[in-house]
Formats: sequence, C-alpha cells, structure tokens
Amino acid sequence: MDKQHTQYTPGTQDAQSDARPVLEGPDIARVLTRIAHEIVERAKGADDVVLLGIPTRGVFLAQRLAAKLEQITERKVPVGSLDITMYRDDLRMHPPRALARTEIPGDGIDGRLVVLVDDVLFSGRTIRAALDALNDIGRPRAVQLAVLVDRGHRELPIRADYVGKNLPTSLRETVKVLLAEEDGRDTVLLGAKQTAQ
Amino acid sequence: MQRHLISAADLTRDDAVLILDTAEEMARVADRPIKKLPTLRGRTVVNLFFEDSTRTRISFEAAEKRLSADVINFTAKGSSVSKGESLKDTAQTLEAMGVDAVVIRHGASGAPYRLATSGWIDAHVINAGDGTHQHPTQALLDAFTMRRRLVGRDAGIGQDLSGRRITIVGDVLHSRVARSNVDLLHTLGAEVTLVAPPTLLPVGIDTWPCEVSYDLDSTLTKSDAVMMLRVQRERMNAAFFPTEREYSRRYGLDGERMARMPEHAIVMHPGPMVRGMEITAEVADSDRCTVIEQVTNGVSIRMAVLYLLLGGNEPALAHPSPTTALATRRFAPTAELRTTEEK
Amino acid sequence: MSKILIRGAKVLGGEPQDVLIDGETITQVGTGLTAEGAEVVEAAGKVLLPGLVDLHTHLREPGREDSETVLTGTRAAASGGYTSVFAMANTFPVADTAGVVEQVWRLGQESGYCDVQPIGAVTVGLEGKKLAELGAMHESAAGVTVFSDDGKCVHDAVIMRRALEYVKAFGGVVAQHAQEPRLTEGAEMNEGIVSAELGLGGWPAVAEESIIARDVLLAEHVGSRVHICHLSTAGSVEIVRWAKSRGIDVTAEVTPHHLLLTDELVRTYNPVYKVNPPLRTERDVLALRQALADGTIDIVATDHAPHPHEDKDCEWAAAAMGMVGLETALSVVQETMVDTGLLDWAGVADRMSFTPARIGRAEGHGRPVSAGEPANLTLLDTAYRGAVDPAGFASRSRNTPYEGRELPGRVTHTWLRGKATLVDGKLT
Repeated sequence: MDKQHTQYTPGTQDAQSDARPVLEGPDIARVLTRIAHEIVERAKGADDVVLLGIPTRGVFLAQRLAAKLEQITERKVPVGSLDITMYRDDLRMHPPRALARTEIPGDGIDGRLVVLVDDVLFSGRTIRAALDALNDIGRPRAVQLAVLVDRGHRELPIRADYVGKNLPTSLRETVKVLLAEEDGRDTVLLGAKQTAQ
Repeated sequence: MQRHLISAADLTRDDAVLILDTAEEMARVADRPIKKLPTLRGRTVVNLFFEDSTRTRISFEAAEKRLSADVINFTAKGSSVSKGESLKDTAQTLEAMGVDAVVIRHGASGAPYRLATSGWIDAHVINAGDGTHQHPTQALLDAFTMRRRLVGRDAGIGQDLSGRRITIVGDVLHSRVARSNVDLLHTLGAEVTLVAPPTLLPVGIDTWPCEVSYDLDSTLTKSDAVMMLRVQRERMNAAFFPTEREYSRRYGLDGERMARMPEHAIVMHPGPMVRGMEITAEVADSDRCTVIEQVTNGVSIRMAVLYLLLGGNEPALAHPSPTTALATRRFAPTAELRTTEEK
Repeated sequence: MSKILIRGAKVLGGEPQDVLIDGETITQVGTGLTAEGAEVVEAAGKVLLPGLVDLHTHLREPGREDSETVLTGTRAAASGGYTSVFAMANTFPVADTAGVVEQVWRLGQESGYCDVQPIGAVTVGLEGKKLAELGAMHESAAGVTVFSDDGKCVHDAVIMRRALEYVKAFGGVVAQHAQEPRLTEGAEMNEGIVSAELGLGGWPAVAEESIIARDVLLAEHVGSRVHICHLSTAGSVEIVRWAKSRGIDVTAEVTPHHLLLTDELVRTYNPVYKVNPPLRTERDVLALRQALADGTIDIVATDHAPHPHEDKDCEWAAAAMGMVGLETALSVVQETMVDTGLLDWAGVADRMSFTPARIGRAEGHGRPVSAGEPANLTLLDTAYRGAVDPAGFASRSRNTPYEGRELPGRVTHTWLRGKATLVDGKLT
C-alpha cells in the first residue's frame, strides 16, 4: 500500500503537472541530519544501532543516515536492507513482484537496536511486514522507525520514532519521493491521484 | 498469463532471468536462522510422483515448506495408482481436497501438459520431469549454477548467459534434462554443444538450436561448463553402445580430460552419477564439480518458481500459456497444406 | 416392391440424370424419367456415387462391444455412405476360425444397414507364428477372401511367404499391416523432429517401408497378390510405384486421416491423434495425395478404430491407438482430393467403391450406376460445409480427430440393395 505511492515512473510525472515539491534537496539533507542527531541522542551514542532500509528508496536513505551518523559518532554504523515483499499482507491482490535484496550486516541484529528506514509512512502495513521479516532474522534489543515523510492515514497501530516531515494529505493525493541515487534528483512531490478515465 | 511450468521452451528470456534473480534472493533465506517465509501460507501444494525420484521430491518439498505452503506427498507406489486408477481420477481426487498446485513427475512424456490443458483440474501444474520430454526446474537450477559460477553471484543479477559455451555430454536421446537445458540455455544466449555417440542422439536433432559433436576431446577445450548426463548401463543391452568400457573411454570425463578444460570451466551433473561410467570419482569429487551446489540451488530455484506462479493473484510470468500457444497452432498444418496446393 | 426415383443427381459428378430403382435393382438411368407410384428423391445439385466399400474397418464385435458392435458399426457405415465393410480380424476371440468369421458375417446380415465381409486372421491369435485355417474360413458361409493380422505385422518372412502362396489356391489376398516390430518397440508417434522434441518414442518410416519392400518382392517371387494396409509414408509410395512398374500384383490403401493430418498435431499430446501407423509429416501427406490421384495407391480405407472415451481421456502413453473414420471419410476425401482438384467424383467412386470391391471380391458392390446393377448407392451434398460434431455420430465411439473442424460434404442418402438405410442424413 505504501509502496505504490512512492514509485516514480518517468512519464507519468510530466502528465501530473499539478504535482508540487514539498521538500527540495537541501531540505532533505537537513532533515536527515536532524534525524541522525535524534538517533544518537535517543540511542545514547548509537553504538549498537543497525540501520535497515526498506527497498527501494529506504535503502538509500539508510545509507545517507549511516554516513551522517558516522560523521557524528566517528564510528562505522552497520547498514543493510530488508525486503518485505514476501511478508506483505496484500500478496494475493497483485501478481508476484520481483524481490529486492535483504542484506543484513555481518554481525546480525541480535541484541541490537534496529532502526528501520523508509521513505513514506502511510497505512503502516509495510512496517508490519518489516517487523514480521525481522522476526525471522533475529531478535533485536529494540526496533525503531525512521521515515522521511509521514503522510498520515494509518491502518495499523504503528508510529514513527523519527519523522523528517509530517505532511497532512488527503487520500486523493499522492506523495512521491525522488532520490538522486534512483531518480537523479532529490525532491518530495505532492500531487493529485490520477482518476481512471 | 502463464499458469503452469511445463516446458523450459515456454520461458522467455525475461521470465527466465526473473526466476534466476528471484532464486538468488531465495538462496539468502537459507543463510538465516529461520529458513522460512510466510509467502504461501494457506496454499496447498501436492507432490504427485508417479516415478521414483527422492531427490527431486525432497527438493520441491523443502522449497514448498520454506514458503510455508501446506504440502501433500503422493507417490504412485503403494497407492491406488499402481494399477487401475487413471491420472485424471487421481488428479481430480486431489483437487477435490483443495489443492492449489500440482507438482508432477510422470514416466509418460506429456502427462503434465495433458494435466494442465485437458480441463481435468484448475490447479497450477509444475512439471517435475516427464518421460523423456522436459524437466524445466532442473534446467533452471543448472542455469542458476552456471550464472553464479561463470558470471558471479551479484554480478549475475539481471544477466543471462550470453556467449557462454556449454557442452552437454551423454544420453541425449533419453534425457529430459538435455532437452530442457538446450531450450533454456538457448533462450539465455548460451552456445550449446551436445556430445554423444550417434545412437544416443534423436533423429531430427539438426533442427535444435545447438551444435552436435561426436568428439568429446575437441569440444572440451572451448567449454565454460561441461554437463555430464547419466548413462544407464541397460542401454548397453539395447546396442546403443558396445561396452561400458568403450563408452567411458570415448565419452566419459576423467581427470586427464578435465585438465584440458579451461581453468575457469566447471563440471556439472544432474545426478545421480554413475561413477566409473560417465564420470570418474576424481572428477566427481573435485572442486570444479558442482553437483552438490546444484542440489542446494535446486531448492532456491523451486522456491522462486513456486513464488512466481503461486505467490500472487496471478502468475508473474507473462508469456502465453501452452494452451493458448497450441490452440492457435493446432490446425495450422492443414491450413498450410491447403494453401500449398492452391498455388 | 417399392420404386424410388432419384431425380437430377450428378451421377459420379457428371451431368444431372434420373435414376430409377425398382426393388433391389437399378432399372433405368436417363433424363426426364417418370415412374408411377415411385417415391421421388429430389437430388438436384447432389452427387450420386455407388455405395462405398471399406476394406478396413474395426467393428470390435465380438469382445469389445463397449467401443463398437456390428450393429452400431454398420449404422456408422451407412451414415458415411458405405454399403459394404470388411471387418478386421483383431476381435476377442480373434477371427481366426470359421466359427468366428461366420458369427460376424451373420451379425452383419441381421443388422441390415450394410454388408459385412469378415476378414480372417493370417496367423492363429494374430501371433505371427502359425497359419490360421485360411481355407476353412474361405469355405465357410462368410466366404473370406481377405486375410490380415492387422494391428500386428506378419513379420516373419517365412510365414508371410507361406500365406501369400497358400491363398493362391482360392484367389485370396493377404493384407499386410507393414510394421517391422523391432524398429517400433516403444513407438508412440512418427519418428522425426516432433518426436525428438516431445520425447515420445519414434515410429520410423523405414519400419513400414522395409516390410513393404520385402513383401512386394515375396509376392513377385511366389506369384501371389498382396495388399498393403494404411500406407503412410512418401517412401512407401515410391516402393509401391516401383513394384507396380515391375508388374507385381500389389494394391495399397491410404486412410483419410493420413491424407489430412500431420504429426504436428501431436504437440497437443491429445491422444485423439494417436494412431497406428502414426500421423506423418506434411511431405508424406502430399505424397500420399499425389499417389492416390495417380493410382499408385489404389483405394481409400478408413481403418475405423473405435475406442471408448476413457481410453483416450488420459495421458498419451496410456491411450489406445486409432480413430473412428466411417462417418467422416467422404468429407475428408472431398477436402483433400476433390476440392484440391486432384481427383474428380468418378475418381472417388473408383478409389472408394469400384476398386476396394474388386480387391476384396465384394460381390454386388462397387458396380457401375447403370440399369441392371444392384441398387447400392449413396447421395452426397457436396455444397455442404460444417463443423464435425461427434455427438451426432452413429458409432458407439467418439474418438474422432476432426471434432470442431469444418469439413465439406455430407451424405444425405444411402441405399443398400434398394432399401434406404439413410434418408436426409438420418438412419432409417
């Protein structure tokens, strides 16, 4: 559910002329820096933090956060990815999707503080799937959640520990996160959902 | 929409690469403390084995269980099938129990195709080897093994086997593994050479998308992978070759021959091996022989196939089903004949 | 006796003529015929042929009445325009004694739809080892003149030689099912590109051709005549052509399905296409049509082989071999031979009535449509075109390879010695 609002498909963007940026490149850099500081503060030095990004864009955000944490703490922060495709609760509603990579850092997650990183928090179902996936991989000391944008409309009792920007939206709107690694530029776009012809 | 996996020839390049890529992710599950995914929870898969094949059955069973499917094993021996009950009745009985997919191994070529296209059942059909026809998951796991070894585990993602030279040696005539591999490897861009005595090659092989040679030594030196097929000793009695000794001398792989292969080249075998016949113990036990890896990879490949066929509301493999493909072909020959004559 | 006036039919495809039947006999053929009290059949535009003769039918009785009986088989024959069929010997028990052939012959007489001429087995139990009592079968009420182990080949060269010699005494003929048994062990379809791909056991053309070559030489050597059943390959055509050019007394038949279908259909793994000899390649099909047109192949014979549904509703390997053919033969011949311009209707009458009757010595059948001849006739609507629907078959079995296929021509009437067995497409 969350994911389809973050997929950037070239071509459809241009058709969506009314999409407007709500975060630009510098804003994104700034909020990531803030989140990194918050993590260090709340995790008391972040020495047992493992960052796990949820593909696709959560992985890039996790890597950026890791770099910032390293600047702050001057220590290497383990970063990896957690694909939740096979744990989704809507598998039976679509054709199977191609799988993304799950890459758990060498020392694993047992007894550590795992910070899940995603781009947009919406219904919360992706995060539920991620918690299930984590459960099969190990037993962290605690799990926290960092997102770039929280657009509301939760369908499950899930909340983020670190939020880049709270963005109140209507269900008729779409939120698209574009990142340089994948899309060539950094921006968050708010647009109107295209209605079927 | 492809509901079944009957033949390696039904797979497009993109389908095949998607299966290999998916299997690469599935393989990582094996490294976890809990080797299980909830993906097929609530789906029932029956392993319908009319022919003995413990290794294939166990491989499918492991794949199904790792994806949390409910698994029913049904083997012909000691069941009502051994005499009397037909394939149709057996399949319909199982479907009446709410089966979502049938993994079938059958001694008769075309039995899985028949099961998938005759309207007997609605379940997905996965061919686990039929007669001397096809064994598509074997070809996929072989291609997966080649891609890992020759291209690389990570470097291989999204890649096919373009330009790789694969040699398949042995009883091609009776081998579903050879047929499936020729189809799939060709689709993946590899150059395939079949090596066998002329008696063990089918009539009409000149139309297959591969080269054919009677001489093992001349092809070994330019092979990236050499796949040895099992040769049953009983073939000797039907005059396919004179003696075991002559066969292994002309077409067997021993240490001396292996030494002439390029350094990076691997030796493959679908198992079970007949040591001393097509392969010597020295080769079978060497680092270059991937036979154990192939078994491991088989589970990942079968997980990928099960996920892509059963994981969603419709299969992810986009090519037309054999039913549709053949329906259009069905009456074509006559139409052609008529036009020929009207000229 | 009743009179029937068939008005305006194209006799053997020629100019429209009237044909008057009185009792069992044709009494007049001409234009503008009238006959008081005669039942008139308007046949304008239709083709009138002599009643068809099938030299190769499996009626299955005795033994496999679940697939066909003499009654259902002869009803199917009448539907297809046949007035005489030769019933193959591979029943249970095998028709290798005077007793069995007489039983089949009597059942045919009782059916009233079509004359049944039993074929006797060449060897006891079709086992290819010991000659059956050929003379006794010939002298029985059934008067057997055609002998065949069809379904199995008389593969032993000595047995074949003896059979060919022995039947000379009473003008019999041996009809050979040409299949070298060792070359066809495990055979499931034509050996070629398709069998290699499908992984089905191959039935090589040479297994048929080598037996035909041997048997025409044997027939020449002992001065007997030999008939080749269901010839199916281009190579077999060449051998028969060569034999005929040498003056060897050989005749050959082709089935309708070998004139139309190819082994490409086996790609469906649908056992309805499983038949022996197997469907061959396009090249073979074209050679068979040419050979039938130029007379190298003498006749069309159906090899009507009924099987119950369950014997075809299964995997290929488990399925029975054979197809029903009596009710579609004429349509297939029109499709492949007439509508393609290879054969005219007089040619069809020759290949499906005159010549098979002559080979099998079927008395009163295969006679010209002229005054004084027995009124064995069939009337065909050649303008008709429609999809084959097995549900409408008179045969007990439905194993046709043509289900849903559109074919031309429809038999509307059949008369057996003046008695209508089929009227407006309906059995009487």
